[in-house]
Amino acid sequence: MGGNSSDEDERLKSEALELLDQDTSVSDDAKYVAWAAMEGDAELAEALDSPVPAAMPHREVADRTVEPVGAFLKSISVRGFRGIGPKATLELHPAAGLTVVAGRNGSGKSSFSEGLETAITGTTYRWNRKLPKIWMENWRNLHESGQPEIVVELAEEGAGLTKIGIAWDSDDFKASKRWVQRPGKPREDGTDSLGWEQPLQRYRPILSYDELSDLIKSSALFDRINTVLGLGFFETPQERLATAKKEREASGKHAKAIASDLKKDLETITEERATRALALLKRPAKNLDELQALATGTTAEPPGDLAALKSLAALPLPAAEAVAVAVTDLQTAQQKFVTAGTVSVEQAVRRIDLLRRALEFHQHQGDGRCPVCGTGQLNAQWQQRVEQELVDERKEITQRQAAHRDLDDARNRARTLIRSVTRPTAPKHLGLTTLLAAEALWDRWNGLISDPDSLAEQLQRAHGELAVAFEAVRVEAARLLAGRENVWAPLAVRLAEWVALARTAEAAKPTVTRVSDGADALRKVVEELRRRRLTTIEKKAREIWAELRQESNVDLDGIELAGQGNRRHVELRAGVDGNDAQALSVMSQGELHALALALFLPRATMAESPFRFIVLDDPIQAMDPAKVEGFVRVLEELAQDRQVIVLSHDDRLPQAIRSSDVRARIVEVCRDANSVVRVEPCEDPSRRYINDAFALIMDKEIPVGIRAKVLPILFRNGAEAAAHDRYFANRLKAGDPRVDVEQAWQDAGKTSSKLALTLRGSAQASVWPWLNKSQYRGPAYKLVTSGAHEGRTQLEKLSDQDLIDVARDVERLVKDIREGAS
Amino acid sequence: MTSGPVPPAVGLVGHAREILAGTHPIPPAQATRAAAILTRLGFEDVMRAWCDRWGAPSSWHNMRSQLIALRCLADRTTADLAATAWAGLSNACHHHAYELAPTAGEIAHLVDQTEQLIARITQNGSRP
Repeated sequence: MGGNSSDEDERLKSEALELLDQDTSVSDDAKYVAWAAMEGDAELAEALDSPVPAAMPHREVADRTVEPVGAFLKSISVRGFRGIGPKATLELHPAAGLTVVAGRNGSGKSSFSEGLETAITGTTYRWNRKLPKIWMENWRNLHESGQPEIVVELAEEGAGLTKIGIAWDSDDFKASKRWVQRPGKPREDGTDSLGWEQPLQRYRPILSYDELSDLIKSSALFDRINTVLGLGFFETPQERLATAKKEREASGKHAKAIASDLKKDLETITEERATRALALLKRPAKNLDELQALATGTTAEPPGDLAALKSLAALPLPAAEAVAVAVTDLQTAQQKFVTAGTVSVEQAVRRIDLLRRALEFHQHQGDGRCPVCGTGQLNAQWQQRVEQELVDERKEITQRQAAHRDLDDARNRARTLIRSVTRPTAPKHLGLTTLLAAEALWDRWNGLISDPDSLAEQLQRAHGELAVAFEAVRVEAARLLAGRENVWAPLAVRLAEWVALARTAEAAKPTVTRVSDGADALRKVVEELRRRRLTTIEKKAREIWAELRQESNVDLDGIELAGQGNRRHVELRAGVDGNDAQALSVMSQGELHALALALFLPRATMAESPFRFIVLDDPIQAMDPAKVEGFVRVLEELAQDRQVIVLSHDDRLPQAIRSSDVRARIVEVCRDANSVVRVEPCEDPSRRYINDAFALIMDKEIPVGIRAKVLPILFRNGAEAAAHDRYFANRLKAGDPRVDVEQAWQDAGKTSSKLALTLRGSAQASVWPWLNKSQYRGPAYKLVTSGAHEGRTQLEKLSDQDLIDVARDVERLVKDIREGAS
Repeated sequence: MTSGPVPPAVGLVGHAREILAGTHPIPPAQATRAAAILTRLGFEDVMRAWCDRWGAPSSWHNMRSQLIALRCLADRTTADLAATAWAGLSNACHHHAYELAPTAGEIAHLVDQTEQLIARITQNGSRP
């Protein structure tokens, strides 16, 4: 019952895919994502992790014209509930047709409709809407000591007579027990097996006056119409997409929030890296690599201040040992140099040169007087002495040259050592207090370069002083550095985290776009489907409105569901004497009610609904007389293939029904003392024909010709109406398909065949065995099955008293047929 | 009756329409009821004209049986029109406790219905 919901979903899915396919403005990827969202969570996840597949799956569009089997109401029994005390039963004709349940306010008629609503839905609209404490406490009838119980009998197509019950064993309205009993089967707890949960939401066959008033509130109407459109299937895929988008956007949103916090915190510190990071974060296109390098300290060149502090903290100075070595070297070289003699090497070199030339001269000239002094003798003895002298001299020179060179080398090494120490510098704003002394000492240290003679003597002392000053600088710089790191380090950690998050967000961005596009594509599809389905409802609503409006100058031009979320509403376009207007603003209260009915009825009578019945509780309260007439026509139209039950507290509706030839049943609900509720059938179509016949017979002025002509028609119609009711009730109660029952009735044709069908189950069977059981049946049967002419000639001859007797016989026959007498 | 003198019913209903339109010097408070009464006379007149065709004596005034006969012998639309118009008219012409006087709009609607009924009965069939 109610159509398999997964079949319905498949149909919707294929319809949606077809629409997606046709939409050229949507990318293939968006279609793919939309499709995946309809398939399931896993499919969507897969789709978002992978690129577009080769082909989108195709599906055949299923046929959606099959009507589900339906249920008619057979009876509603209520005990100890609301206005009804001892058990009272509202018997209904379980077939298409109109039944008016009339009763004064407080007669208990609404207790039947609320009882029905409670039995099939577990609650009532009133209950849900107002939650009045007083109602909660007083739902039980005080005049009944037995436990409250409601039993609804349904003629269910294909199943037969099904019972639905609800009972309470305490005062708690919510603590009810519901059950279902199918023919020939044991009672089942709960009502799930009916499969009515979704159809009840969608097609809600019960409308009370309260609900009618509420319907006009636009968002309620929106929800109602939206529900009946049956597009609930798409809620899950749409939620899936929304969730996927949210999840994938989460890193981005999170990153944004963190960035904003970071920026705030970065602004509060005057640290270079912080300033730099802030500048980078403020750019719309963020350089993540640079930010990451900044955060992790792997930047190739640290910025100025920091570099200065870092280098000061590690201010290099040669070790004391190295200085000591240099000083020893210097001293040794100096010692050697002093020992090597004080005579200038140059002077010695010139003297050697002169002596060598004198030797050459002696070699050429031989022995003789010295050409330089003129007194000395240059001879072999001289030559020998001088040659020896030259050898010695050269040796000495070499030694002295080496000592000099060694001294130079030692000095140079010392200078290099001095130069290896760089002058400590730092920007003034860093405020290093120890730097000045260090600088002065460094100047003195450096000054030693140009003072070679005091090097050996001063180097060590200068180094010692410098070492102390440098250490002071190092300590101070390190302290400042540490201070900065303490500020920066936590920020750096957060920045690093942010970068990681931003990278995730960056990676998710294309997916977010895909999800958004998919969601847009799906939304377009749902809107189109909604528009299409709404058109059907709109058409019916306009037809109904056309009947109901009567002399109202308001035309209903269109119905549209507009807005989303809190702003959702139903746009009702109206034409007032040809001018466009918003329907709701130009209508009177009565018109609004009529309009709400016009919108409700198509919903409740959709072909897909498993409910063959509609219950309207006092729908005409605010209607003016002309609208009641139109309403009767609408009801009559509905009653062609629905069981329409209208509760009415005044006589206007029964009056309007009596004054037109609408085949309707009217039952009256009366409440006696102590909540004893009686239901009395006061009119049904067959009874009405007979009543009319009696009225004609009683009219003394009526021309005989007319009477004789009209009475046979009334008798025949009365018999046929009774047979129709009996036949339909019997077969629908047995669970026979509606279509078959209607076909058999149509096929029967003549009145006699219809009676045979009803009384014997076959149009060809003889009804005489049944007729012969009572004396009056035969003559009455002959009258109702005779042709118009025969009947007329038969009746023309009768006296008034005889006519009354004949009419009594027909009345009894009709009653027997109607009540299924044996 | 496609030609000949204007049937009295048409004249009566025409007057009713003029009263509603305000062309007659009738106090507004009584105009609707006056129009309703004229329309009802027109209605009774056209029903009598229909009965005449069945050779009915002019003494036959019982509207209920007339409507029943019409229901059996005329087409459905005509019968429905007559029944609803009659229900409305008998309601409008009597002063009911607890009920307000009918509005001009409601009477206009009844005038429309009666005119349609006259047209259906005088022009086409519903003949014996």
